[in-house]
Amino acid sequence: MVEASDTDDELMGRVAGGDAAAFDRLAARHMRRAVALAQRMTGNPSDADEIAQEAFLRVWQHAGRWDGGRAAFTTWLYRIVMNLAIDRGRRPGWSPLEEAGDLPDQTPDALTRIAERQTAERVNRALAALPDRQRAAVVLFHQEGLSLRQAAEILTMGESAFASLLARARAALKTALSPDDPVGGRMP
Amino acid sequence: MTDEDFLRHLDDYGASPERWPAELRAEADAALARSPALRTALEDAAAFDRLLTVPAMPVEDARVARLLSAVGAAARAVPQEGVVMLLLGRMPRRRVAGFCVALLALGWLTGGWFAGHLASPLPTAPRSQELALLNDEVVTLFDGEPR
Repeated sequence: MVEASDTDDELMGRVAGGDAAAFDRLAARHMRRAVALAQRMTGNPSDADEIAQEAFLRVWQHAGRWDGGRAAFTTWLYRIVMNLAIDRGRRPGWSPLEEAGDLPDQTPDALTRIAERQTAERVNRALAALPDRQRAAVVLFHQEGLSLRQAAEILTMGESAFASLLARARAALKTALSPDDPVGGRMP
Repeated sequence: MTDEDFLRHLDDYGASPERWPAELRAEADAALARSPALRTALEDAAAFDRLLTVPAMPVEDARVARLLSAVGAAARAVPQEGVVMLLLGRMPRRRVAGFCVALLALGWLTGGWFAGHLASPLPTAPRSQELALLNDEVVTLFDGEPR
């Protein structure tokens, strides 16, 4: 029987044994964040939905491969999501800038909201122009708030290699968003 | 850590020294404590970091529910991978490829050896007799009456 208090490790053990109810519970626990992560990487809600579904289907199919001693379940899940998002970005004709809708309404003032939205679009464009892994580094470290070590594990690289990847990404973004850049913009 | 070092790390990792590589944190705190200029640089860098932390687009409850329903149904329709694939999946790809090549080579060698060294357990009939037997069958089938 699946309990709400079951840890990810316990649920994964049951999923590996073919327990579909445990899989439902695990998916319910992590689906929202998986979609959000895919959406940050692709900037496209419909792609994000497909990626999240595909990621959980792979969790189900390959549950026996997961080794709790080597990585947390979330590390494994985010790795699948990031790989799928990067693969999708490499498809011919793919465009990351389908993002639509409003940002969360966190400010009362409409003008401030418009300015924030414009800034967000500028940042998203600059992010989308980065190489895949640099974009992934910024998403994981700055937007998802993961530590250097966690983000490095998800991208299957050493911590120092990740730090250097992040530094390159930040330098590229700084250039793209600098006031002198014609397609960049001004920092607030 | 010199001021130049601090500024370089600030560029590389952002305005939260507590998230820098562990070996740099204590020295970064010390550098900040002694230098007002570095504290100003840290504030400027924080403005850039805030730009990068764009709020996530909301993922509505209905959307999550739809995805959960779809993925639950899909999982029940798709089998999990078998034991052999699990074992191969845990191996590095190069080792799996080597394993497959070795299996193929072994099969080819043993097949050739058996073909060359073992006699067939059934007596082989002369070719003319085989044709005669086949001929008898055809006559029986198509004439409708056995001989």
